[in-house]
Amino acid sequence: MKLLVCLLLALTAVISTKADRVLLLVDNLNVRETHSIYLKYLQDRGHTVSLKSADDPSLALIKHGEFVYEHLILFSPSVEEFGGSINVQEITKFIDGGGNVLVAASSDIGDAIRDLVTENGFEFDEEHTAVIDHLNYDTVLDDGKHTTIVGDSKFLLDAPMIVGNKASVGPVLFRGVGLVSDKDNHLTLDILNAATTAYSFNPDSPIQEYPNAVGKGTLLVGALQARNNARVVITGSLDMFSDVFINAQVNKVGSSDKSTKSGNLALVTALSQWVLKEKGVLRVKSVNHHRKGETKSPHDYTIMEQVEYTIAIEELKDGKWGPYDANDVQLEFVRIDPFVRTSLKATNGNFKALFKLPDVYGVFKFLVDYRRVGYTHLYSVTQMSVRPLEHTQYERFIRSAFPYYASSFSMMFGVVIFSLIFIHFKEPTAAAAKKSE
Amino acid sequence: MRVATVFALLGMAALCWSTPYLNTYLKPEDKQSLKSVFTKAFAEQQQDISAIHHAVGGLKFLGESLSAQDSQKACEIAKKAKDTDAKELYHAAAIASDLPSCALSFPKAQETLTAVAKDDKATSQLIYYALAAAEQLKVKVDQTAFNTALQNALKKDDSALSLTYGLNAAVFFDAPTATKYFDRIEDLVGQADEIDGKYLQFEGGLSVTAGGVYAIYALSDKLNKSPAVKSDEAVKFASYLLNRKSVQIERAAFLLLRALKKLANNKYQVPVAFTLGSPVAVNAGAPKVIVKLSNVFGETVGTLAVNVDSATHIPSSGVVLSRKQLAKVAGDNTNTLYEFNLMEQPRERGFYKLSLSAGSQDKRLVGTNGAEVSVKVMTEVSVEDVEIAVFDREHAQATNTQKVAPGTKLKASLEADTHQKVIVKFAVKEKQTKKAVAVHQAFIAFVHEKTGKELIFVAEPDPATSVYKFDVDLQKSAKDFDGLSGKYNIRLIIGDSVVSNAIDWHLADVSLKLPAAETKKVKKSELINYEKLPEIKHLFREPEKRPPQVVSDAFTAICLAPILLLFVLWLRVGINFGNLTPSLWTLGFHIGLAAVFGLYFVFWVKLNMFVTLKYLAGIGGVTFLCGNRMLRAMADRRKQKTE
Amino acid sequence: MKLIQVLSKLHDDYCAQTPKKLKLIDAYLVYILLTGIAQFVYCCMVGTFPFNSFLAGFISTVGSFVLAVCLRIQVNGQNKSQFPQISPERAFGDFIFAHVILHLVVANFLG
Repeated sequence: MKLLVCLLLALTAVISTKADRVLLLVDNLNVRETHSIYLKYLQDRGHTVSLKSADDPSLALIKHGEFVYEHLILFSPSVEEFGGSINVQEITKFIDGGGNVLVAASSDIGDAIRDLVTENGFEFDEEHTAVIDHLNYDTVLDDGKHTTIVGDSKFLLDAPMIVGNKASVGPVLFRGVGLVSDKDNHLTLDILNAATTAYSFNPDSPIQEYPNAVGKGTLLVGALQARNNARVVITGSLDMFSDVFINAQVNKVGSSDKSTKSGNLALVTALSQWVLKEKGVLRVKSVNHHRKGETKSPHDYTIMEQVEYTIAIEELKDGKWGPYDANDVQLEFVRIDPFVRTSLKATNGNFKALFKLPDVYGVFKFLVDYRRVGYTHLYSVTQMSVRPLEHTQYERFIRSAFPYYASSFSMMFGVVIFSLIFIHFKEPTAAAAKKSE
Repeated sequence: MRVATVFALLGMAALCWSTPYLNTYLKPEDKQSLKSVFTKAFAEQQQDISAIHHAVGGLKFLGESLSAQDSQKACEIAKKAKDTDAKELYHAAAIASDLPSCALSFPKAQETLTAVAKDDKATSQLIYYALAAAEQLKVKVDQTAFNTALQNALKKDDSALSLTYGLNAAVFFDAPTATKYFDRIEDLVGQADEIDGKYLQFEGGLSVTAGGVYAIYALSDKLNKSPAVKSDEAVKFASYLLNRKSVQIERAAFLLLRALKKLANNKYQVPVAFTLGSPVAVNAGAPKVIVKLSNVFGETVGTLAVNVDSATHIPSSGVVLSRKQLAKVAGDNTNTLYEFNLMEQPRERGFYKLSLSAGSQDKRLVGTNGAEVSVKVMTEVSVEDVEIAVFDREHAQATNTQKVAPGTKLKASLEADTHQKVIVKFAVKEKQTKKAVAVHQAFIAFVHEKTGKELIFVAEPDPATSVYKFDVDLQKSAKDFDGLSGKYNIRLIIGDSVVSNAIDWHLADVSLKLPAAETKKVKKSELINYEKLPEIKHLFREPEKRPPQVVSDAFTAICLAPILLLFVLWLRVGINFGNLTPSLWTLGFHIGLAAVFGLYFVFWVKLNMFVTLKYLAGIGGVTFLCGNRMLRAMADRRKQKTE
Repeated sequence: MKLIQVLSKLHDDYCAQTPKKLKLIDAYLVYILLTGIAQFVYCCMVGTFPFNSFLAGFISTVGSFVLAVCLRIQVNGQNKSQFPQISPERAFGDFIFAHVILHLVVANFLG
């Protein structure tokens, strides 16, 4: 009986999330304890976390061409050189191969992290600088330099897949180095901006040059989804993930409200779910196209036919693939340039469109190119040919051509009658002419 | 008298610098965190007797009591211990001793525990377990045998781990036997590693260090002999232990609490923690600095004579105070808080380093000198003499300068374009003294009202007059605005870590007219679009316009009309069938010809060429034959006629 | 005036001198011509849609006209010297044969 109960408990306790391998690098093993809540959260989600020191000589992301980990978390801001085979190029190769990376820095930032982040469309400010906001700091946790600031959830990006429900995220505590995004990189996302009154500088030096980040352009959290759907989340505050900040009550300067619980746990868990590909992952289950009324795909289509196109899109939710629901997926019918662009109607994950093929023939493709913030890029191409009308498919017996039909058959009738009349005609004056001869 | 000598001694001690000091203690939130570690371990690891022991023991150290139900559960787990295993007996016995009522009976205990002493391979750890279990189960064991066993164990292994357990075991010996181990304390301390000049730990981390520190003071207390540990070393051990207070494993947490409890309560060395009990910011409104002096548990160490030895203003390195005594805070029932007024004289704003020392009758207290605490003196500033001007960039001096009253927005809305410059001047002064101050952040932000896009400028103080000035030449800076015209809010942002009233002042509104920036062409392959694209409906070729059916029908009739005319003309000419000789071939020919054209009609309506040709071959052949015969006959007849 | 005189003489000579057989063919030619003109006028009015039908119909009339003219030439007694090998029956046979092919093509192209 007890064994049965235990078995049942064990089964129900298994959380059906992807069991991924995460490499978590730290520059101070104390992180195991100061960030225990976050580490425990990762393990509860089903990930296998390998916590190692950043200069451990046995580190490797790629062994014999195979990836040893699916995700990399860098909680090692001050590392100057990684151990083992890891360096900025290897991490870049990791991202190019689809690996996801979460980077958290601090004012004690080393060149390795700065270089890595520059490769990904962002830039950290120099070491010993911090994000300072004299109008938005926490009066209890701050050490006096106004570097423990409170990020307002109204500055979060409108992307529920990345930050969860924006309205329910409380004030976010942040202490660390400032981040700016490269304006020429179109793949970067500003997740959490600082307020207009914030700036990034060394708190102990007077400002004699223009700060590297001012106002809303100072990012507290930034993200990037590469073209191969690898996700990178970058933040300047390792303390944002710490137990102290997660459990803290926020006492914002100048705020008359009583202290509220910090929104750090909600934000870091949402960011984790996004960057570790637990959320916002789409895939195409199947693509089907056929003429209206049929079910199988024909070998080719003819111009101006009614075509029905169905694509089944699935979304990963809680470790299981389920139907995706959205009303903004579009189908393009392209032969170099799109001829038709129409919305797909969703029913239980099956997106359907019915349209008339253009009267242009050629080799076309059904293209679904779905890119939305927080979701993986969905790209489905199905090629098919459209042929012109066969000579037997043109319209016949056209009313306005009746005169021509009538004339043609009238000619034929004429020939028959004529032959009848002509052949048997006897020239009457022929006898008289003969007589005269 | 005694107090004076103590003061003098302390005064001399204060001269030596960079002494280690303790600036943290086990705060309530730390205790809460440790409590949750224990409750969680208790709830989730009920099959592991060591986890239960540590959970129960840890909660007892925190002063938390278990519910009756949990106590009973713990007792039952203790009762299930295997009495052939000394380690399990140890845990069981410890659990029972922590519970209000839990009677254990282990028949084989005596045998098991005695066997440990005889075991050649017994480690000091096992010996400790055996002795502790024996003590609590009230089992009599042979001290001499254990002593020998322990000496052997330590001879084989004298690492920090082994020594720690050895000393812990020695606590259970009677005084003469235990004394033999007293000198090993020095060995143990010698093996400690120093980190960053602040911490001391043993190899093996928290568990070993906590176990070792506890053992040192437990043994010293038992033997009433002062341990060979320097004051500094005691402070560094305490610092290390408190640094690990966020530990999440119940065993390490238990050992940590046990060690801290001993450090707070032993006969020889009690480290004192100096922490700031008031907010870091001090200003005229809140001029008192409160310092908390406690043991590692945050409890009182008795009444102390606390002094500020010096207060140094960090930016100017000037010493503003020396040798001031702190008073006890009135109404403080923790008996740990002491205060003094830093602002008896007006103080420069900035960070101050306070060097503190404490004197006491209690000679156990260590780490009482050279403690440092940081506070900052804040000041209130006001922004005055704010002037704003928009004028032609050709002019050297500003024209039409307008003053903005403090705290208000300029009523008139300004306008500027690329021919103009905008200048803002202001002075930042301390409210109390009216002296000009330099602040860390003096920014002017232009925030576009509609889109929220902002451009922030840094205002710089004039070195001579200390007046802050900011100017922007719109022609030069047009591209910084990205060509975005419209209404901008001008906000003045003043802030500094020592300013208690940071300012975000919406000064004025300005409408900027800027040339549109050239849109950077983005390559199609680099374009990233997250929005729905406009729908495209293919424009089909217009079908040819057809005439109305009436017209088509009319012309059908017109095209057929000539047949009638043909008949009319033929009748006028005169038709006869004079040459007609009824013959099968004639009939065949005419019918065949008609049939061919009939076939063509059917072909047009529904047949295809192949079928038609097939039929045509047949009908045509027949027609040809008939026609041939008919014409030959007619030709013969004609030839006959002409001959 | 001269034109009308010439035309009226032409008409009288035609009526008197042309054998009746040839007049039959001429009537047939007039019929074909009118049908062709009617189609052409229709096309000019409403456009060339459908072009294949127009071409089929028009070519049908044009072809028939040509073949009928050929028949008339070959059957005309006055041209006997130009067609020594071709008897009127042979001419008629060719006429019919050509028509069979012409109208097959027309029926195919008519659409």
